[in-house]
Amino acid sequence: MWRGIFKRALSVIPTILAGITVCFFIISLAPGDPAARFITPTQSPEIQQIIRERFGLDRPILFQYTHWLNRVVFHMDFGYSFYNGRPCVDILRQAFIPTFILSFWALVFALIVGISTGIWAAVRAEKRLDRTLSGIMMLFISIPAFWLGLLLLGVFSVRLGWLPGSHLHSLYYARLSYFEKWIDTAGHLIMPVTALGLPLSATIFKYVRAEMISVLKSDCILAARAHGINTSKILWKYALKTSMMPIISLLGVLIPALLSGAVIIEVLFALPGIGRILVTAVFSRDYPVLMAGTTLSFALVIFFNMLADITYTIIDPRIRSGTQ
Amino acid sequence: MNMLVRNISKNRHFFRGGVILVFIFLFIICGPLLTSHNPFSQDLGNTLSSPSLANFLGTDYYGRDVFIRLVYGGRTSLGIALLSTFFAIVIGSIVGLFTAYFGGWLDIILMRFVDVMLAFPKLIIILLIVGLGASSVPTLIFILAMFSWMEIARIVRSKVLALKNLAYIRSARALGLTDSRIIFKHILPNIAGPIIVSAVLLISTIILIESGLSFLGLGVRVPGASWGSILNDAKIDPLGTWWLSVPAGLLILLSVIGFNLIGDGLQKLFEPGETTEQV
Repeated sequence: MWRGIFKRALSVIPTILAGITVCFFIISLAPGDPAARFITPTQSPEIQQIIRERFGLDRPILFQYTHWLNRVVFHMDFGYSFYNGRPCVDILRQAFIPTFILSFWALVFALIVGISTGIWAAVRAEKRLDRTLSGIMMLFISIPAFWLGLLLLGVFSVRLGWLPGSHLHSLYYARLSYFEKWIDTAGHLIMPVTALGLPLSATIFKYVRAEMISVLKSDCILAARAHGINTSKILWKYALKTSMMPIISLLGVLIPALLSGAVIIEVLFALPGIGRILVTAVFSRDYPVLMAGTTLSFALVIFFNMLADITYTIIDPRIRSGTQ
Repeated sequence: MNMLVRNISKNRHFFRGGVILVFIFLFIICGPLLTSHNPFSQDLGNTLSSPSLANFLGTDYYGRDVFIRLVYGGRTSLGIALLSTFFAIVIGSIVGLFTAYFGGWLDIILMRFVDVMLAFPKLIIILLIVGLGASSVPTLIFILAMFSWMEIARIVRSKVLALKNLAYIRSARALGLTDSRIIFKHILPNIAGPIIVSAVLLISTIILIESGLSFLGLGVRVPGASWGSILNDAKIDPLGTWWLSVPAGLLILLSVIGFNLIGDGLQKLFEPGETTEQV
């Protein structure tokens, strides 16, 4: 088993290298010149050339690539932002926290809602309750997260004024006591977490329901029933355990979706996370920040995929014995 | 064929999805007949007016009629979704069929490539390309297709791998049929079901991605309209200008639901194992 896990962990390296190479070339081969935005019409074209040289954009693309890769791999240095000169690593380290908090709570929310309703619907499969729940979840799976966010913002923030509509903390955050800080952050997070988590919970619901239905139909459950084990014990002890396995591998798919969704939600709710940094950087052609941001989100996905695979190996006895 | 028609008419999901989509397509095809406005002409003396008989769904910040912009926006949004899905399906099916059928180093390289591409958070990578490049509707279609074929290729590949060693394919090979004939005449028809299902579900994914991009101001750009870019205008005051925020969002929601329902319905049709109640 440990050899399998080790091999899986090693396989991450070529994937990440390939991924960051794709990132680099997509960004640096894009049409347009990042130096152009620093030029006013009265300045001479030589100044633009000087700025290009400062940024290293006058070098051949392959030289830029090896230089960048060398710095990233051996020094964890993603260079400095074209726009404000700050180190990209610092910018991302700061931006990572809001993105992590948002995604984490959205995932927790989605898992709780998705799994509990999924089980509930599966137990009453094809009855009225199941149909109602499936209908509601069909609505949630199809709703654009940003539209949901927009409406929530309109109702609770603009119209009713109950919840703050932007940022992670209030301006007077530093003066609050520990307990009040929690309340303050929670208030800021309710709407973005709902908007991001609700569509996700519908995806989880779909999987849990289908998986649970097929497990409940299986022979081992029938045998357990024939043994006279009571229904709740069958459900919670045997069926639930078996049907939770695919959820772990589903997490590998959900993480990219979560990061993608977080981009729009962060922009909408003005949360200073990675997504918002990326969108601003796209508009201002801030290449180093873009490269660092996409590399980070790509690496996160690869990392969580690997984690899901490894967890799966440890939990599932069939795979565990298979690799030995 | 008769059987298929009967199954479809009994299929609740398919039927409901179909009805929703028929209404949406009627709206975007016949919409211009109901009003004399032009989606691009501005009327700066009549900005942000609420719905009235002259403007069914009010006007936006530049005094453009929202109703007619929703009609044209729908043509853009659905057109982009349908076309890029079409290209994604063609590329994905070809890659999936050939890699699975021939195997070897081509299979390994392409599937590793697919793994890498799938690990990118889709919206982020598309946002990057669309944002940095010159974005027009054709490039948007191209880019959405280029980043959507991988899932299809994976599904097709797994289905072909399962079929490839069945007796009828082996006997076709033993009879000396050419590879292309086996692939297109004997394998493709048998995996058409899963391909159609994933195509329909992909349409709704692409509608969501495109509207998200346009909402950020990166997809379809002004003065062009798409449902997402109309919602972008509603950002300033979501409830105050409800005629900007609600109808566009509802149209996105309904068309995504429509395609999802049809996809689910088709899945039940093609996988009769789960449809005991309907046969």
